[in-house]
Amino acid sequence: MQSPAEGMAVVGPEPREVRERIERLSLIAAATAFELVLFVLDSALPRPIPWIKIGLANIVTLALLVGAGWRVAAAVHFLRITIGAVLRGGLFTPFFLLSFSGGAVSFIVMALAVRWAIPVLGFLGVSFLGALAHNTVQLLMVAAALSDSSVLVLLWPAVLLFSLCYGGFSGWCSFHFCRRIPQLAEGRLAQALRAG
Amino acid sequence: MARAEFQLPPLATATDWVMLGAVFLCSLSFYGFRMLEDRAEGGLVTVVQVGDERVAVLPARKDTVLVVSGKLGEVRIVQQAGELWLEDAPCRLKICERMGHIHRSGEVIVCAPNKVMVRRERVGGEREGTLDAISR
Repeated sequence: MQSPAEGMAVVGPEPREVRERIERLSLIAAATAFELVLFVLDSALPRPIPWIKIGLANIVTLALLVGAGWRVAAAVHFLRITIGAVLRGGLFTPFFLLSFSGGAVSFIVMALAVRWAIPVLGFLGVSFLGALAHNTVQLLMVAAALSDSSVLVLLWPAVLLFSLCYGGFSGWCSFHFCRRIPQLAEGRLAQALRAG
Repeated sequence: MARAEFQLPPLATATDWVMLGAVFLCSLSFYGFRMLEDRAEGGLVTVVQVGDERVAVLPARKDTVLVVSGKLGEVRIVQQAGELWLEDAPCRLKICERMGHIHRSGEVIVCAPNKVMVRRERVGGEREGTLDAISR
């Protein structure tokens, strides 16, 4: 009987570069899957205002921004938005455009805040800014679609209040999520990815 | 960055609390202002808008059903016993239908894909008495 190794080329230890790439892809895949689970859960939760979601998926995005760097966080964030739209059957629809634009601006705001404002702001502040940016951009797009700015004046206070509640909640969850994962809490992931 | 240099940011800093507190106060003051406005003199009207065009303005106390043509199709707007809601809209997600009933000045229901907006506004008492439905 032939042993499994017979007839196969002897493979030495994987080059460091390949191993790091695999680690990075595994991290992105696992985090995207987790974000998608949170995204689906978020969609199923009842909402006091139908067009404002809690933003549970943002918990993972913020944790990755802090603990793994913006490249990994961006990959996971935009993959989740796209796959989430495919799952809902709404890719390239107006809803997708709203979701994508809000998600993109929110990500940029949080990435800049993590890079430049983190000693001054904590998880709560960064998460609130992300939620506010997300909801404000969506509201601006609705106002542009209606060609009427009065909708901004009427709904922005609600956006502020709900961004405060939901952004604060996401920030709190993200902080505890980071604390429970040593690779994120100690910056090992960010360090390894930067070295790679 | 060396491993020793990395430090997990705190949950909240003093700046966070100041910013969040200011935002909370701003929102509260807006809603306080709106409550005061709601008690002000003058009649309450319902404004129906498609895009940037007003297609109907009618007194809030008038029971009626309006059918308005939006970008995607017809929207059925119901006003009954001072309450206003969107009963049927052709949009896919039906967020506008789930926005529920509105009754106060400054409240709004938006059907963004259909470009239809319905809101309550306060106007001078004399004007409200002379208004009737103006439809396209």
